[in-house]
Amino acid sequence: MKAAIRIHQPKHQRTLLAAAMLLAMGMAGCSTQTVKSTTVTSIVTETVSLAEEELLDISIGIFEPGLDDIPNKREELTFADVRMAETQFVSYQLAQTLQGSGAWGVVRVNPNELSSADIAVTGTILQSDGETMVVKVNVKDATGKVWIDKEYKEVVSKYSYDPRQRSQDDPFQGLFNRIANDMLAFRQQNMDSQEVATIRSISRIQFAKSFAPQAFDEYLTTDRNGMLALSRLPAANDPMLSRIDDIRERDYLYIDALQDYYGNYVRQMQGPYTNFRRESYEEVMKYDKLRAQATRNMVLGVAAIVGGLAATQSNNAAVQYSAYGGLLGGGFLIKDAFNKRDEAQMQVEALAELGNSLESEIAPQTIELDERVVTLTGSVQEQYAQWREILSDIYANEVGSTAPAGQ
Amino acid sequence: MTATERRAVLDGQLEKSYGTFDGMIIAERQKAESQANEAGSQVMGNGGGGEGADGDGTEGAEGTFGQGSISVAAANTGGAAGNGTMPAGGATREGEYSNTAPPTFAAPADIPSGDDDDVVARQLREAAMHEPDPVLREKLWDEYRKYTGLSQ
Repeated sequence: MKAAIRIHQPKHQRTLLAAAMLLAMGMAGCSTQTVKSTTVTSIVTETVSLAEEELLDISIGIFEPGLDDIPNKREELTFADVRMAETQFVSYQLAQTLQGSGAWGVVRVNPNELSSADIAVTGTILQSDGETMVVKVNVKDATGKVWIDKEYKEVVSKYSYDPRQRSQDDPFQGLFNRIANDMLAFRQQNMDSQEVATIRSISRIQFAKSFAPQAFDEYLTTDRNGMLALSRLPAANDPMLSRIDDIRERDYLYIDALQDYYGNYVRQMQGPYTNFRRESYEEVMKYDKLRAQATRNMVLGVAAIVGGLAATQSNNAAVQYSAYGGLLGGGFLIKDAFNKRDEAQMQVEALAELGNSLESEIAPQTIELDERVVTLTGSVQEQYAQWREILSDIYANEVGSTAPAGQ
Repeated sequence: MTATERRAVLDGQLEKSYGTFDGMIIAERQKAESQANEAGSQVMGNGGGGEGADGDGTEGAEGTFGQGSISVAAANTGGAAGNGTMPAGGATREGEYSNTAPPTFAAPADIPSGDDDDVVARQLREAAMHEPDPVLREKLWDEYRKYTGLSQ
């Protein structure tokens, strides 16, 4: 009978084995599961009837596509043309949501500069696939005060796409509702009538300055933080301000015409886009699962091989025997990991097909939208330039100068 | 020319250019509405439709112009054009862009045949002839007169 042989492993082998075991145990614990709720945050509507002078208008810029900020491992799942279409969609959807809350004046998507808006909303789409949408949103008022500057994330479940389960709302309506709710909460908690009046006045003067800077420069001051304040108000019957107000009404109507374009575009692309998101949801789920499996198997496989290699150095035959089992098993896991990666890549290709299909389906509408916006805006800007010249002449005439400005 | 006269001339230029601009916007919105009707949907979303659909005019101040000029919001009926919605009054104009013959209203006696109308004048004429609201129709004809010089 052999005496029990005390197994002595060199220190580095013990370290390797311990590390491999820790890795394996860690990976076993890393198999997390995302719990998705089917609950959608409801929109909070204003219950108090607000007078017209209490209403703040909102201008929403076209969201940035965020193509430079795509999260790791999501680049393969992001399609530039789809993302560009989404920027119009997200901006318009947010506008519709805000308008539906009944808490604001006029809410418009505005592709132009927003400095003369009561409230300006800008944002970036950081992630958008069928499962997850992440947007970064900045909301500030005409004084420069920032209301909101944060990211919103919504993860939906497959039930969000099940026509038997979901409402007519967009699958990510909850995200838009949360943004709208936060804006309303901020206004209710931080804005009294005086502040609302100040914001409206400042935005009015900002617009006036954009057309007749000489006439309206003196009414606003900027502090060292960039915050605007009223130094004084023009007279209620100021004729120049009256002309500006006439122009501003036309600016509203130009923006209203743009809403027609955006509305038509969204209604045309919404069907194919929703189908794309529903189908890509499935592909994204498969992709994520395969990637997770591939990663887990790779780590476990490596851990098994490391542990096996360490154990092959043992003087104990049983340990050596099991070490070869570990090497074999580890090799199998690694091979399976590569297979899973290949399968995940197939999901990417399937997604790419979906993305290309959507892009080609909505490309005509996207091109048409761009052309119409650019054409109308070009014509409008030409007219605005002419009005600026006329106003400049009027101002020069009123202050007694004999030469029109610019000569 | 005195300063007052000069100012009057410049204001006249502004007023005239408002008519041109208004015509352009009307034409664009009519085009968009036609496109939407062809697609079988309402022009504007329903998000703000609560106010717009009622046409209660709470937003009317936003969409109306100063005196003597077109109220494009009113031309779309209701005051909610400013919020980007097609107000309920739009419902009375649904027939205008469908395959059925739209209602037309005769031009006032002082309005010529319009054979030499340019694009903007023609758009103003068409908007006026299809406008069921008599007050708005007259405002549109006033703009037409201003633009074509009939009112001088």
